[in-house]
Amino acid sequence: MKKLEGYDFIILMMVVTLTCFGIVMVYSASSIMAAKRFHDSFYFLKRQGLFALVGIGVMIAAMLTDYHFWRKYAVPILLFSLAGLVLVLIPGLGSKIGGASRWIKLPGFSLQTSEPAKIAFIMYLAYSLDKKQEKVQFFSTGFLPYMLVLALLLGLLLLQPDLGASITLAGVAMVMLFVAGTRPRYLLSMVLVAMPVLTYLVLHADYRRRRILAFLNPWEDPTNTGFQIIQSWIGFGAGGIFGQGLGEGKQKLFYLPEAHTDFIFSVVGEELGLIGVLVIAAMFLLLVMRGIRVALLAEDDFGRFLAFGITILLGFEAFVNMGVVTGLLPTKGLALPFISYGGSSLLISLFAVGVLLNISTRTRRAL
Amino acid sequence: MRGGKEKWADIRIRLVGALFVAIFAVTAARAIYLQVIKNQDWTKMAERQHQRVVALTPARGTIFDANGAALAVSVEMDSCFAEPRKIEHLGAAAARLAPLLGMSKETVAKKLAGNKNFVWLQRQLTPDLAGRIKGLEIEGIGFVKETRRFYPNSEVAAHVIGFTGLDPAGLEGIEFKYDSTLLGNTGFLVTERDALGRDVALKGMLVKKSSKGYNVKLTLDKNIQYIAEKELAKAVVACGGKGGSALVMEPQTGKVLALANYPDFNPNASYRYPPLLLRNRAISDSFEPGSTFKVFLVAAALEEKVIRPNDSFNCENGSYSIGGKTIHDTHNYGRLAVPEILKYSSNIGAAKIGIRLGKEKLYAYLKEFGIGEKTGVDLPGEASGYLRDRSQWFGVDLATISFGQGVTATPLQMATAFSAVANGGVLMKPYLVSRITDDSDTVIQQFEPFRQRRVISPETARIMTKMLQGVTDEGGTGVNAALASYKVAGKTGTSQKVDAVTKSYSLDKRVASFVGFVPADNPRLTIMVVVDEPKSSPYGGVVAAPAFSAIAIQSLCYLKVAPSGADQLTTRVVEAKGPAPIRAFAALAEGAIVEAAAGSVMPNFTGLSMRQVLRNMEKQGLNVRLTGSGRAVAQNPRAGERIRTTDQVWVRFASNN
Repeated sequence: MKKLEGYDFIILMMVVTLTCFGIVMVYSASSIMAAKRFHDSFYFLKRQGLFALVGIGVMIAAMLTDYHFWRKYAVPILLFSLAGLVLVLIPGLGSKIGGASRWIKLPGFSLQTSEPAKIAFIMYLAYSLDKKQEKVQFFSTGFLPYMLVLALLLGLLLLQPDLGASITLAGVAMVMLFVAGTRPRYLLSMVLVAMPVLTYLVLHADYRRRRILAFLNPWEDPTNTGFQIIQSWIGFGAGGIFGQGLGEGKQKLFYLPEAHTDFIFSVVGEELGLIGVLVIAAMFLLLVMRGIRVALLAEDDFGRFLAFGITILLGFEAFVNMGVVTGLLPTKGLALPFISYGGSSLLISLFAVGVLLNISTRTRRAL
Repeated sequence: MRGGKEKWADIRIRLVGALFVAIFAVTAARAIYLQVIKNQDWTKMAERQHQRVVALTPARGTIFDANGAALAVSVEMDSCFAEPRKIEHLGAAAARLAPLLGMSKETVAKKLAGNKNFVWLQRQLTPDLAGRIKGLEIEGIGFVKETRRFYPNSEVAAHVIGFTGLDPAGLEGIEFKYDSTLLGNTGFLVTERDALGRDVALKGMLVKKSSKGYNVKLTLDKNIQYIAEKELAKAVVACGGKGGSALVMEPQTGKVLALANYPDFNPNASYRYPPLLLRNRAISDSFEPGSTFKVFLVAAALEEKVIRPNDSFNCENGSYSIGGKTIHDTHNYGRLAVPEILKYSSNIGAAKIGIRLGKEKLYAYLKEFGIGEKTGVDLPGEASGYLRDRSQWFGVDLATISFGQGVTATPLQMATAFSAVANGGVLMKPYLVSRITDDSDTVIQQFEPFRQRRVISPETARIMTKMLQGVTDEGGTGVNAALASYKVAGKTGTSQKVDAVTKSYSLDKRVASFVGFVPADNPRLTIMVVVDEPKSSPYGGVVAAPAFSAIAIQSLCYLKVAPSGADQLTTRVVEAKGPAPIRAFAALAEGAIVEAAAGSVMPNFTGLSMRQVLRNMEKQGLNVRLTGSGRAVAQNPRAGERIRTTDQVWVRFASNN
């Protein structure tokens, strides 16, 4: 066991605080709904609490694990997660919720397979970019292989379908390649290629088209497609500067769909107001800044890419979620890391932070 | 040492960091826009969505009869609704609800179909049924309290009381006329609710308090009303008539004691009846009065002194031509004195009196009697009848109007005008509501008798009363209205109806009526009976007069009015054991009228009013102690016992209820 001095204390504090805050918000947002649906107002609180305990255990374990371990097993891990994405599509193994097969049923817990796939892909990218070094500038070695792996992942994710995770993965991949030195024109051309594909995907699936239309003009159909975002705004906007007070929100009373999961940030806005919103957003920004600092200080390129990828993943998810809740972006089905209810997301996020913290213990110099 | 590649990577990493700062700034700006700048808009929308204004509908006031018996009361009941969107298994829910609601499974399923937010399943359920539906515990099935109007006496006084709809608004009768009085003030409570429409916690904010509706007390007496309805129905059925009306009024005050129409309806289920049956025909339908009208003619002629009671007229042996038309009498008469013209109801005699009086005078008196204008009774839908302006009277009109043809009046107008003859010449305004009280019995408004105007002098009225008594004497047209123990003054009426198709008088459709007052020497009641299209006989004296006498005798006994004859007044009493009027009448029929021994023997005072007891005691020179109020219920010594000392004599009174 290596020394643990020098880990980024701020990151640890941010993440533990956000996780605890998440448990409180999950309880506030879900208790009445849980009482009605499960006759137990603590249902989601208990489960989220348990996930957090396990998750913090996993985080500590990852923190104590030399991150080079992940370099060694990057490819098998990627293959495992690919297998998971395939398994979830097999009827009987995957559990279908709301028309999407995103979960593999385990005893007492359903695993959302896209969550481990995200971290596995980042580990693979970090490993590969580190291995190829200068060769990343070349199209055939530094760009095409990643695009193929990414296309495979996205293909499997879109079969679920999970557009939110697909966009997250594509976004994180782009930023990581950009930082690793891929020529911007390749990335730009990829965006140009992706645009018609994305357009096709959006227009092809009725629910996605409706989401886009609802995003563009939610008032066109406020009781149907525009309902969720309008309800989100009502809660968020009515919160004002100081909020209604923790637990005093009304929108969670069956007005706002997904109040304890994807739209929990709206409940934060309603109950804790602008102050709560800015504090949470600032904590995420601070987390991102500290993560970038870890990447800059990492002792090798693998650590640098891995730390950067993890940071981008968490930051991307957090700010896209906030953008969706405040109506800046169309609805995607993305959780707010550490805060939204959901075991897979919380476990993987805490695990990723554990890896990040381990990287932070091995700096090559002080900045 | 770091190479160029790493330096570039560092720059790019910092660039991404800067990008996140920018994203944070956008997010913060968006939050400020939504939560600070647009805060008011969203707050308003949130309130509109979360708050529910609950109307607090107060219980409707009670309608009482003159003795305080409840005629219309409000009962709180559960109404059952469904929120189909919240029902998980619509089919299963329909199957479970159907037997309790008494509907088929398909009917219930149909109600629940269509993804509606709210649908009434059944309103105003019995407590038992509501309990059983609640017991099913189906999610999406809810209950609200609604007050239901209940009429405990069913058909009794239905046309007067009227009825309400499911929503507590009066639709007819007193319920309609005094709707705002009975309704009270609706209050408002603002509560917060969740998206399922359930109230959240008890954070209700009382914006406006509700106040209970006022109670309305009628002049109507439930027992007299019952008598009138029963006898009217009997009379209409007996002659095969289409329908009829009966009215009982207090002539001195204009108080309506009973108002009945046949056929009647049950106000507890008013929706089952055709609108025609719901009409209060006694005030909203006018008819040609016929011979009853002669009373106003003779009264006017006497008052104007164009005739004297002893004058006689040649009745032309039953056929008299005037203005190109021929007037007939039912029997052929030669010369008839004025009282006989009334007694035998001669049209020719009436026509001649009319001609002598002149159209200006007749018209003026008819107006004075209230013909052609609404009485102003406190009920909705009153008709004014039809009296042509005298400038429109041509040729034979004066003659025919003199005996009640070519003019129409409502039963209420006739009863009101007759009351003016009965009470010594004053036209009173008929009314039904005597008092409005609040929940704690404080009087809010008291209605007093309203004197419209003097129409004829007391002397003329006295002469008229005497003449009208003759109508019920042997040989008169109204002999069937006569009573053995009371003097009756009245007049029969028979008129032809105008055929709606031919616009001329129908040959077989008649209206038979009798209107009069009892006891003639001290009138207590004016009674009007009208039978529409009687089949067995067209004559008021045959069809309506028996009903008049039946209503009169039972009502007088119920009111314990002493029989006519000054001396008997104080010595004859009615043995009445209970408050029920029908039983009192039965007792009378069985000959329970006792002659109390005068002198030192204690009479039976049971059932007498305080005034009657006092008058009697005064006559006997006795000193008597009286306690309580109402009717005599106990006395000492007992009836028939000797009175030894005056100080032991007492009579205790109690109110009937």
